[in-house]
This record gives sequence, structure tokens and C-alpha cells, in this order.
Amino acid sequence: MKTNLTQSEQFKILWKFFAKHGAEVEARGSDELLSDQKAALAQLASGNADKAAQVKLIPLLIGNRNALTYLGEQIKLLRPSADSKARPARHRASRSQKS
Amino acid sequence: MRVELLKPGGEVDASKLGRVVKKTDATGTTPLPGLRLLVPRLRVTNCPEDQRRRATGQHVALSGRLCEVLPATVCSLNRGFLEFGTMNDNDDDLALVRRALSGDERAANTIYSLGPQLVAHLTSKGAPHGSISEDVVADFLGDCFGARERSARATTNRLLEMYKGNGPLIAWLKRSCWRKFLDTAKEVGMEPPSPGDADPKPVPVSAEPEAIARIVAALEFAFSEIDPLTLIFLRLVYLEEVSQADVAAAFGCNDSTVTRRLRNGLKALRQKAEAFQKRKTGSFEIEWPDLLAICQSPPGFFYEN
Repeated sequence: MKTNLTQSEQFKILWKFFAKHGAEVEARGSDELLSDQKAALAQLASGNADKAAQVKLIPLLIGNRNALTYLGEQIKLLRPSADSKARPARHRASRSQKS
Repeated sequence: MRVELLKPGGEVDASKLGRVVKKTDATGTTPLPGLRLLVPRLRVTNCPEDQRRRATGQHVALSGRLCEVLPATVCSLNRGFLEFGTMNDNDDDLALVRRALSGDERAANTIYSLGPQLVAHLTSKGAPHGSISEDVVADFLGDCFGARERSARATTNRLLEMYKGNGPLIAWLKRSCWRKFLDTAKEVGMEPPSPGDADPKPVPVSAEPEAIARIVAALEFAFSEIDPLTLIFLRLVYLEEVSQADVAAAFGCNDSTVTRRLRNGLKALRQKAEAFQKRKTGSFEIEWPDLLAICQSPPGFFYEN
């Protein structure tokens, strides 16, 4: 069976429902972020985190809703896509140096 | 944390529940780090009658176990210990029916006053407007109280006795009244209404607590099974409204990778939820569009009064 809802709408509906009724999402992990966690998230938002750093942050992003919100805010602030288009060579260089 | 003792639809003795650690508000937004357990329709027994009080839509932590207290749960705080009475989500409705059946005129009138809602329900499903639907509802309400066949078997003729409080009374009345209409239509040789005859005005979706619990369990499974990075992308793009290009740049991948993960992620959520239902529920499966509709307009019994 098909639905007329877009992917975005479907996901929002499911998540909002789950966040309200599924204790896991809302109850688990709304701790305040530590300064080093914020710094790591800001680095990820800027597009300068290597794979290892990304992998390390995944549990935090899954388990703490504040972390995901913070990352979203930072990405919107730093606009890494604009940065990477303007300076693709340097971006790739810094990434390869880190890894 | 998973606790085998507390299971959806299960039963636990009040003496086995521990001290209340923390109580959250109805939205469940108060931080309870590390705790994760939802127990829909948990039945807790052996709570002293005089210590009961009503708690609605709250989440409570029981010795580090998170449990949702459904609206009709009766519980009390006694020297820091949470105590529950036997739970029934529709005990008010059941009490009303019992009063009405025992001859309480006000209670009976309350049920009769639902007649217009039943007529509207019939017409919304395609029954003809006007006297036909009204007559069916009048007959149905008569049957509820055994008014049409008063005899030595009167008690067994009272349709309302079939209501056991397993769902909201109005939902039971609507279902039963619709069956009555279909029977009547068959008797008089009337063509039963097709789905296309239904009133275009949408009827609010209602769902039984069991259905809600199943959806929650299926979604919990689906969200826990989905690839974590995909879930992060889904949340960033759809909830935090970050552009796909920015997500791609932040995580050092192509835009198309993000697009593909979003598309496949939602598909995976659906597949996992459906697979969970097939494995766990057995009796019926909630179709994806219905599941979305229920999630979109969940019933009021999960909320605070």
C-alpha cells in the first residue's frame, strides 16, 4: 500500500510519535554537552573531522539528542558545503593529512 | 536497560516495584539518562484500595526502570513507594455501562445521548442519511438495553452486557451499531454501502491501546536496527532541516550518498517495522499507511487529562 506523504513527512511523523511514546528516544540521553564534545561536534560540522573522529561521535549523536541538535546548528552556521566548494583542494588536503 | 519482569501487557505484584526515583511530566521530556523501558498496559496488582489515586500519562522511574503509567492506571505514593491498582483503560466507561444496566436513569440517558454520534458514524461510512440510519441507531440503542425483547431472558438480550471495557465505549458502540446496520441492510435486501459511498469528511483515526503498544514496539525495534549513520542523516535533514549538501560536506561524502541513505533509510525503517510485526504480533498486522495515520493522530488516552 502506498501513502501520499513525502519521505520527510513520514519520518517526521514516525519520529515525533516515537519521541513521545517510545521512552528510549526522549528519556535516554539529554545530558548537557561537555566542552570537548562540543568542540568535536563543531569540528565535524566544519567538515574537518576524519573518519575515526566521525565514528567516535556516532554513539553520542545517537544517544544524546542535544548532541544532534548542536551538530545541526553548527552545520547550518558553518555551511561546510559552501566552504568545500570554494576550497576543494585545501579541504581534501587537510582531510588526507589527518587520516 | 531491559528488565524482564516488566513486559507489555504483563503483570507484576506491587510489592516488587521499588522506590520512585524520579517522576517526569506528561511529555516525558525530563531527563532520565540511561533509562529506557516503556511498558504499555502493565498490570500491577495488590495495591490497597485506600491508597489509590489517579495518575495520567506520566512516566515514572521505578528503581531505575522507566515505566509509563497509562491514563486509567490507579496508583498511589506511599512513603516513597509507588503502588498501582488493577489497570483498566476504560474503567469509567465500564462503570457507566454497569450503572445504566442496573437501572440508573442518568447513566442510561448518557448512553442514549450518544445516538447522534452513532448516526453520524453510520452516514460517514456510507449509510443513507435520514430516517434509515436514525431508525437503525434507535433500534440498536433499544437492543443495548434489551428494550425490544424484554422477557425471562432479558439479561442475555441486553447488548450492552457484551461491553467489557476493553476499549472506549464510543468505539464499541460505533462498531456494534455499524454491524447492526449491515444486518438490517441484508434483511431488507438493501445494497451494502461500498467504501466509495463514504462521507468525504474524514473520520478521526482511533486506535486501541494494544495497537499503539505494537506500533511503539515496532518502531523501537526499527529505530534500533537501522544503520546509525543513516539515522543521523535522517534526523539532521528531516528534523534539524540541514541541507543534504551540508550533511555531505560535514561527513566527507557525496551528496548522492546522503540522498541514497535517506531514501534507503526510510525504506529500511518500514521493512524493519513490518518484519517486527510479522514476527511478534501474529493476530493482525498494521499496514504502513494505517500505522502512519495512527502516528499522526494518536488517541487521547496517552495524554494527560
